[in-house]
Amino acid sequence: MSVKKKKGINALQKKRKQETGRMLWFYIGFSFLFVLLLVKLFSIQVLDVDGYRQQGNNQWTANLAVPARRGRILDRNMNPLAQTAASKTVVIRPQEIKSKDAGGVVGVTAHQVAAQLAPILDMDEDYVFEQAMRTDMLEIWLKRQVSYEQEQKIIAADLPGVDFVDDSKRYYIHTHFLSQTLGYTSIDGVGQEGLEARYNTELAGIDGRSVSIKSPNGDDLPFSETQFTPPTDGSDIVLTIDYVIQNFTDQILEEAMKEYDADKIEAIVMEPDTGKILAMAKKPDMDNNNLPRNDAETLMELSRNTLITDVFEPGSTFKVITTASALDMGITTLDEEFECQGSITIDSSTINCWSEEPHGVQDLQTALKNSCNPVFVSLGLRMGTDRFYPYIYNFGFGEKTGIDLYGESVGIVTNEKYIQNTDLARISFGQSIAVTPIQMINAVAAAINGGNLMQPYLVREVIGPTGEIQMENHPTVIRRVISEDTSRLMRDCLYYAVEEGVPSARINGVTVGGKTGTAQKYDETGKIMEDSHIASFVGFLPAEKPQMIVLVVVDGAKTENDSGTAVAAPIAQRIMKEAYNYILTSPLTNEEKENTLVPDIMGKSIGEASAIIQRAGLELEIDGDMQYIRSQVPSAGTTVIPGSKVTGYTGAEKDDNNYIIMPYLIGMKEKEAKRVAQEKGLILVCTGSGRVGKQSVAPGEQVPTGTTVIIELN
Amino acid sequence: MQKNSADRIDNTIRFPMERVRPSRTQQDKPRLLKNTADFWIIILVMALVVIGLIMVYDASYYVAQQSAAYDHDGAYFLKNQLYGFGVGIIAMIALAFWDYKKWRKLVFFVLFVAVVLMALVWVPGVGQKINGANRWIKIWRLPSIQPSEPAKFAVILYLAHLFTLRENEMGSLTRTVFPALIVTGIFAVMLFKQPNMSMLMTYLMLMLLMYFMAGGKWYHVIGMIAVGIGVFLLAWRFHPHVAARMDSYLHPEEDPLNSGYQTMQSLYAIADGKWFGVGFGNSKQKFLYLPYRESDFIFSIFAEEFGFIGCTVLLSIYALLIWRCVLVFRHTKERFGRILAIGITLMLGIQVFLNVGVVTGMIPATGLPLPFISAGGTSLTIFLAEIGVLLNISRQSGAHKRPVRKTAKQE
Repeated sequence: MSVKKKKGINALQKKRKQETGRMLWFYIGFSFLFVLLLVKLFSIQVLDVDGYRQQGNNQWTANLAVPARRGRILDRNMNPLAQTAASKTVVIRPQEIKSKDAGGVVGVTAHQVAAQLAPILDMDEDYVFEQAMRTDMLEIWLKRQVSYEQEQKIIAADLPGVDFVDDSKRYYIHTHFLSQTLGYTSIDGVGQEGLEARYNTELAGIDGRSVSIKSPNGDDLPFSETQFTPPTDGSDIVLTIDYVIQNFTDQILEEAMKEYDADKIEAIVMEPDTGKILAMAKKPDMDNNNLPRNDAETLMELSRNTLITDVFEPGSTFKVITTASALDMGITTLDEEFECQGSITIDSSTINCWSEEPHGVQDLQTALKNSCNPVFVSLGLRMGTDRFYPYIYNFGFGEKTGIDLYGESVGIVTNEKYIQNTDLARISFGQSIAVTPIQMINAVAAAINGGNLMQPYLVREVIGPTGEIQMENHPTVIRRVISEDTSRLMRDCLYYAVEEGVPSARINGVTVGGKTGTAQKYDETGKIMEDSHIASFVGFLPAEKPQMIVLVVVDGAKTENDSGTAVAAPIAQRIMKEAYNYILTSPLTNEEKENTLVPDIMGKSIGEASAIIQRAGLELEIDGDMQYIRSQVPSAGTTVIPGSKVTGYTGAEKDDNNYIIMPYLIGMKEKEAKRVAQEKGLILVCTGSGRVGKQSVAPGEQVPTGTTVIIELN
Repeated sequence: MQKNSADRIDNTIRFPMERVRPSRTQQDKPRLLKNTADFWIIILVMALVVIGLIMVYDASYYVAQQSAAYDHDGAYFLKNQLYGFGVGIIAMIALAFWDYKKWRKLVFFVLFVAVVLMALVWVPGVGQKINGANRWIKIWRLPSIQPSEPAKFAVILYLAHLFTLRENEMGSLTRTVFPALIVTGIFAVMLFKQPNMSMLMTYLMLMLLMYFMAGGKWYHVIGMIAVGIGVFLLAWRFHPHVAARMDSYLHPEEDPLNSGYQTMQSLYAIADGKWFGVGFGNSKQKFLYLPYRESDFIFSIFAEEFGFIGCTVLLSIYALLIWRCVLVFRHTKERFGRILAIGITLMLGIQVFLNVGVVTGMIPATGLPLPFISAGGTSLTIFLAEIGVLLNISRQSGAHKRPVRKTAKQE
């Protein structure tokens, strides 16, 4: 009994001991896990050894650039030529698309979206599908700056997960207008070519930044504060270009291109006294609003401003320079008589005059009119390299004119060390030397403006966003080249040359001076081309006191007679005639010119809009076939010349895009709610006091701006 | 009552060398507390439930308001939670007054009901498939429930019953270990099929630890762990769900936007809390970034808003609660009550550890609620009901009134 009892006691003792042991294990294990969790939490929260906090911050913080508005480019009468306007970018939201997949079959919706969206946007369907399947992305920018028609089609298709975000696009208000000189911007609005590139810093402004904490769908969190650095808008640049002169120059060249079927035609209109460029055109050109961005080579070719980058052998127009140098040097006078025998032999090589019949005896003025090569050869040889070359350089050949554009070429002036008599002879009538059109016109301008070589320029001033003038360009004399007297003689000679020799350049009622040129063209192998020439004409008016000088260069005209007289002079004549009439009828200075403000027609019906525009003395052009004006170019408040065209883009509804997403106001203080409402353009009606308890319009709902929201504070 | 409790003491196993303690109620004042349950457990549980209600609303209102699925009702989850709380508190009070020993007669009935409920998840019209897993059933208009939660209690009940019956045969494979394994195994297979790996893990750990605490053999415990690891490795190799989970666990940062997304987002939230948290209501991660923010990952939001200090306090509340529950186990003489108490305690502890382990990235991401706090009506109701059972055991043992050391000194 006692043994049994003892055994029992032993068993119980053992059991008790075991249970105590198990208890101990429980406590050890339990404490261990408790400490383990705390250590892990400590390492995450306090030590943050893996940098989770930083990664999290990156995820929460939306650091957005607030783009500065790019400045406008204005003509000298403040007509906008380029401005930045709102446009839409198409975005897709893959997660939203995926959520619409019926029956859990992945990709059904994405296929539908791609099939409908791709043709509208003119994109590859497979590519769109691929993008729509990238469900790790919240939002993908599919195509930027879509046209209004595309936008309307997409809205009509009502595709899931397809939306628009606001974007901006550079609009060139007149197409095929000053295109190479204006240049263009990248799709992100960074100047790439022309003035857009040269004055990019001024135009671009400084982007602001908005740093805020956002939810994954991009909403601001209710308690988050936004740090906002406002952008500094870009400055406007005011050109020396005159919209009207440029406009008909472009048009005239366009017509001439059709008429002559030339390789290219270039023209510059300049004020000889100041170096201000009034118009600058080269055809073929490009539509700056629809650039062939995918074809870099074509884009390069079309956008190259050959007026400053490309060189040509000027031919007879260069005789102006030879004559001016010789007269200024005093080695000849207008009265000296020369005899042309049809050719001249220098160092055993023969140079023919262009005319098969010798010109015979002629004075200098007549020689210039006849464009007689032997006369200028003998003048050149008489001057010699030592004396002629400084003049060539002084006229600005072999150096950049300093025009405010990138990519200017210096031309080809062979160093005088290597100049033989034959070379000098050729240079005298414009061969063996290559110049850019801008150098040529600038040099002739110096010959007739009283003798000063001016620095040509395109930008008159830069106006900051608040209206202050940040930079001004003034006429700059580079150097005096010839005396005033010589210059006067040159004006007379050139007037005589046109009056007697180039009837195609004469204008009724005003005296015109000028010189034609027909230069030979070289093919790719460097051989002189038989049937193709570069015809040019440089002319100015009025001959006594030139206000305007024009250079026209026609490259490879496909006409029977492709000489300067036949093809270039008539073009220049038309430009000069139009310009002269314009200057006569319309005062050129900005102050005296009457300007019209463009009225606001946004949201108006077409009938109303056209009435408003007519009252303002402007012309309305409607784009689209909807009933209301959705946007307008130029925008309201812009100054334009009376009679200008205002384009109204139409939309279906009165207030097409002014919708906002109702913000979440609950829990906010009254002041905060008011601020949010104001930002979103809502009208807030408050009842009670304290924090917002209820809002009459549910958050997340899409409502038009100006909607009234009643909030109950409690 | 007094008489009853005296009877009960007589019925329990008495260790011969144990000193017969004079009932403290005869010497000390707190007559009122006589035969009441451990007050601390009630306070701690209520504290957790209140924290839970606040956190659920805090974590969910934005998303609930944003989503048409919740009727744009910011209080959607709070209402559900309150519903679960209401049912749970009634169950808790009722069970606190219902003699736990009566459960022994219901063990097999409860087990049967649990198996049926578990099977219902695959019955069309009743079972609900959410995110590719059959974990939910919805009957008529009642809120949907997750049967694995009540089934857990059925398993605890069965194991407590089994280990009481086999008190002297705990080392027997056929009599004790296999029955325990088979019953748990039935549920394990069903959980594997759902699939719900985290719940499966909870069940297995629960069984193992209950066996251990009830006096099981060391080598059986180690053997079962070895087999468990073997099965797990096989699952890792052949079961895509498990494999995917393991991959994202081992390399969450490799693909933070997909499989590792939950873990990374959870870690961002926790890290954001630093020492003192970003302040109540100021979590950034609750704004759509972190999935399951009001349920499985609610601890992350808590950690973000209250920081390391807040986490320490919260975990301490759990630790205190578990300690008080263990005291019930220690001071209960009756074996069924003891094992039932430790079963409930273990389940609580396991689930807290697994949940916090998951959100801190220590354990593969799984869906498991944080007891009393995570949104989820079933979980809250069942936990409160189980606390009711525990309170009944506590009442009957009078555990809280008997600090051992003190009485020993008094003698």
